[in-house]
Amino acid sequence: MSRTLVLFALAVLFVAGLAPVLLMFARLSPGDLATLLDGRTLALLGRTVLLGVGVVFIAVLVGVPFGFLTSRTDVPGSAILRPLGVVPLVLPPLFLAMTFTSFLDVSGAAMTILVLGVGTFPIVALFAGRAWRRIDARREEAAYLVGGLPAVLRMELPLVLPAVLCGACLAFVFAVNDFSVPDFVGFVGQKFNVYADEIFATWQIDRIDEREGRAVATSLPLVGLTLLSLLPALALRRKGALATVGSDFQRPAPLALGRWRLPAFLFCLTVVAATTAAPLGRLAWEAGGGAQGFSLATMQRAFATTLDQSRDQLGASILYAVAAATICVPVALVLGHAAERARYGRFLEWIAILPIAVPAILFGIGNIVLWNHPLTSSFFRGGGLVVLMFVGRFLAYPFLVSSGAVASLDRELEEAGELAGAGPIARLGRIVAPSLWPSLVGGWTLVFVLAMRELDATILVSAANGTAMFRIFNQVHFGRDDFVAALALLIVFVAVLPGLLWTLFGGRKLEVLP
Amino acid sequence: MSTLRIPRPFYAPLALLAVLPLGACGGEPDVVVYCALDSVFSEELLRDFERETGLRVSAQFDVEASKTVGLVGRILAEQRNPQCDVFWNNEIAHTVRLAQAGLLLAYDSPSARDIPELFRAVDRTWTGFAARARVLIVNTDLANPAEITSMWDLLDPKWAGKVTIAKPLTGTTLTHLAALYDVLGESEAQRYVAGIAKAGAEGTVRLASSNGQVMRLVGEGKMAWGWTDTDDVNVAVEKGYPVVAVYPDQATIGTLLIPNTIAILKRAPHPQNAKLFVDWILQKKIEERLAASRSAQIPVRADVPRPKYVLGPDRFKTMQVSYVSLGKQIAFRADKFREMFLR
Amino acid sequence: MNVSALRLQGLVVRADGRTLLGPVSLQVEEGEHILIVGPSAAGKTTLLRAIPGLARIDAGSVAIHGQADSEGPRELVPPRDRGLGFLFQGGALWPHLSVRRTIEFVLRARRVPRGTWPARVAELLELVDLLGFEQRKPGTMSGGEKQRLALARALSAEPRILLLDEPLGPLDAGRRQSLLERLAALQAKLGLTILHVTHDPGEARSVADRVMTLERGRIVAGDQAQGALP
Repeated sequence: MSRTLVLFALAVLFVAGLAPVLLMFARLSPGDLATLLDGRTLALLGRTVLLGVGVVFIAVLVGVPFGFLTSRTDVPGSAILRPLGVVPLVLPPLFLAMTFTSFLDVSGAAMTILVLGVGTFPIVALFAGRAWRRIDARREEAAYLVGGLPAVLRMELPLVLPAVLCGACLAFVFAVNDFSVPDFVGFVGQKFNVYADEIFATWQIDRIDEREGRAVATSLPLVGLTLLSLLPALALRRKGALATVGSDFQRPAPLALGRWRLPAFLFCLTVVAATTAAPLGRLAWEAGGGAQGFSLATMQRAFATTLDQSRDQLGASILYAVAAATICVPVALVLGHAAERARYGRFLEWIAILPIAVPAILFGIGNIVLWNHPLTSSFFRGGGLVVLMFVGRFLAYPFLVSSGAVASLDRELEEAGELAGAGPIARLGRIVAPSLWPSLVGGWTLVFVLAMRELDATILVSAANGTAMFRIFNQVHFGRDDFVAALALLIVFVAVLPGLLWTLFGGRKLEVLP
Repeated sequence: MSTLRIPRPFYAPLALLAVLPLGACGGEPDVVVYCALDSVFSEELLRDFERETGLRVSAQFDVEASKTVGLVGRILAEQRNPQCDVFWNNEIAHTVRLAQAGLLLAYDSPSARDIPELFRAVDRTWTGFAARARVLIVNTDLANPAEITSMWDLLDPKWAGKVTIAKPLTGTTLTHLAALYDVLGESEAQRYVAGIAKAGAEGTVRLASSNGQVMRLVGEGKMAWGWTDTDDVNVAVEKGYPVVAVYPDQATIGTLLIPNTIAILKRAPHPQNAKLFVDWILQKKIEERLAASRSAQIPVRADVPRPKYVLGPDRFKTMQVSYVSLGKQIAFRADKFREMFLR
Repeated sequence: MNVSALRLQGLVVRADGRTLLGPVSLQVEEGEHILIVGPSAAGKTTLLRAIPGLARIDAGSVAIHGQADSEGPRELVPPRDRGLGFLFQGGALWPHLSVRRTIEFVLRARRVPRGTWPARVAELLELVDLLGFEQRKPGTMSGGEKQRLALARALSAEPRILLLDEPLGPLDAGRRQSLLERLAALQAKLGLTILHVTHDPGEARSVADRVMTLERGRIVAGDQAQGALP
């Protein structure tokens, strides 16, 4: 391992991801913690935890069978259903909320849980699907001979459980940190407030009154909850529970469902219809005029107007996302490799994931504090800061993917390179990286997608005004539904494009999981 | 010792990292405006200013209130090295708060000489113009506007489950409910606000995330009526929703007028250009344009031409409120409302 | 003074609270072919990995051609500079590199002038009978072919000592004999010193100069004349 390279990668992580957060934490004083956990805020926190548990329930209920059916069985159309099932991850949760609230007369907590569950089920499905694909054919055949499909499932469920747990942890993290969905859907019926509301409201007040320490302190319980939720996922990964592939692994054949084939297909189709087709269809309908009367001509006009008026913003969003993803991947590779190979690996894990545990507002204001100085004014005003913020905010994801991939890489491949005389950088670039190519592209795709749909942290800096997501949320207030819908569809299309291209031409499966 | 020979896969990322610090797009602007008035309404005006003056404007906008700490938060965070020249707020309370924090420059714009004193800071640190009124948006298919005359109707059991208001944690709803404490007195205002909080918790009053959402709910017929601003009502009418605006409490406290406010930051990077911008935006013709626009802003000057549907203070009773007092208490009220509404 | 090719003194390797190896002392002379046999988990692979420094040494020393390379945990000479070739159990071939690129990887790492690569690649492939396989990748090769490629890679760095970890493991009887003969020929031609570990006592006795037995991390039997040190 090259110490120079690791130090450089750590420097990037520190500057982009940790310094803004640490600067804000430095503003804490003991007095700020005094009223932190009164009865009201504890109740909010408790409700948030319940929300997370509810979301996990939905995500697992849908994700496990969907992941199993589309990855391991002969259900028709699995090659199309599987990638379509990932689309909800690409859509900003608010779009899902808008769709579901227009179709269903469900409100408050139930709708919030449903929307977030639908938005996060792909995470569980991806983990479950991969775990199932990594079960050796011979083990499965042994169970099949004994008792058919039921015996296979009985044997395999415990094997995939760690992966499902890992996915569930991530779904929980997404759920408890989401602000927009509870805020949007919670207006009907009993108001369902969550802890993210408290953070937002405190920042609104305490920025005005300059009691910043209290606003930072308010974030701490959610930061703690998020880190605690990630603990099982990291522990499972470290124990190798997610990597079941041996050196003589035999890939299992698709399981024949027999008379269950049609019901299974209908189940998968329903999931995709509800979670992907419905929101995209609704956006298309809005783009075509929606309640004012749908027409293809209107849709055409909407897209033409969108491209004309938002070309620059779309271009800026793509540029920032590409730049951020391209910077993240090698940094994540270096850190991920060190996390697996170095003695201080566990420590690296924790500091690498810290930026995703803090609220976007805290991260955004921390960047203002860090970069708004006369010497760095130019940088502060420019797109470079947006890219850096994306890097800081999302580096953890390709880091987890890379370190997971390195964990499953035979260490002897690197040792052979070392004995051959290759230095650590050469080994990383010419042995490790090529072996992990699907994971590196997967990490790149993850950052690209997240950056395309991100607004919460970057909204606080100038250049974010020039992004497509800003334009959407700026316009959505004003009944520019056709324009907003058309722009949203363009963003979704651009966000899925890299993954789609890889699937079509890459030749190998994209790895986006740790 | 291994030399630092960089493998090819690292070239692009290293190159990108190297050019990041150069990332200021397009050079230094001539004036930086933080504009809370939605870009749909304000962007065209800013482009016109550029055309007329030849100055380059860098405009920073906000999004729907639920998404951000707001431009005020940015101004405060940037205090040590201000980026903003002019703060164009679409309400007044937070502008007053910034003035009270000593962050605004006193500037007596010649364009503001005919603006009523009510809408001007005594020390000339801010000026109000082009206002919105807090009104009730009523779906005429679901309710008879003539039956809704008072703010207290919101808590009338006969409307249970059919009325809505945005959470008073940000924006004009916060300003509105905070103003009631000055106008009605502490106990009456508290009774009203606490009543809304209780009703919101019970679900008899729907708490929306923003005025825009209130507009949609009522316009789409999911709610009968609710509190919003006049610009939202106008947007709803243009969308073809069956809605009208009701100006409640005309016999008592009247309707709250919330003006846009314009102010120059004390340590603005381009103070002279900032003054030019303020002079330009406070012209009578700009108020006229804002009145005629989709936002249907109400001119604070009585003699500004306006469309028929833009009612001026001559057509409805305005709430007599001290904006300065409002600015002083806004943070305190926001804190209290947070405790009441986030449970 | 006659300097040994390899000298291990009191070598100890521990992990997870257990002693995996040692203390082991061993001296190998230039040009010898030493066979180390032992059951599974005897410490054979650990012994082999300790020599280039791939396994962390807790006590003892390693000296190659008179130069101290490790003293306890301190690595005095990095693995790449110890003049060793290593044939890993299972090969540890790089799946994305063809036969030619695998050899060239080593030549590049060793800063061999690029102009000499074609000749050097051809020479090595001829030694292991893989001429014509230049564009093939490990995934398309048989077990025996892969072992020969792993051997060619190990020889590419022109080592003076070759470490073989179960080299005959994946091969059938016919191919085992063939590889053994090839190893003997290479040893004679290149003057290699070979340390060869296996779990099969019958394997390679015909070509080994000395045989030692390793059990539970200690050398328990072998030709004591020059092998195990007190």
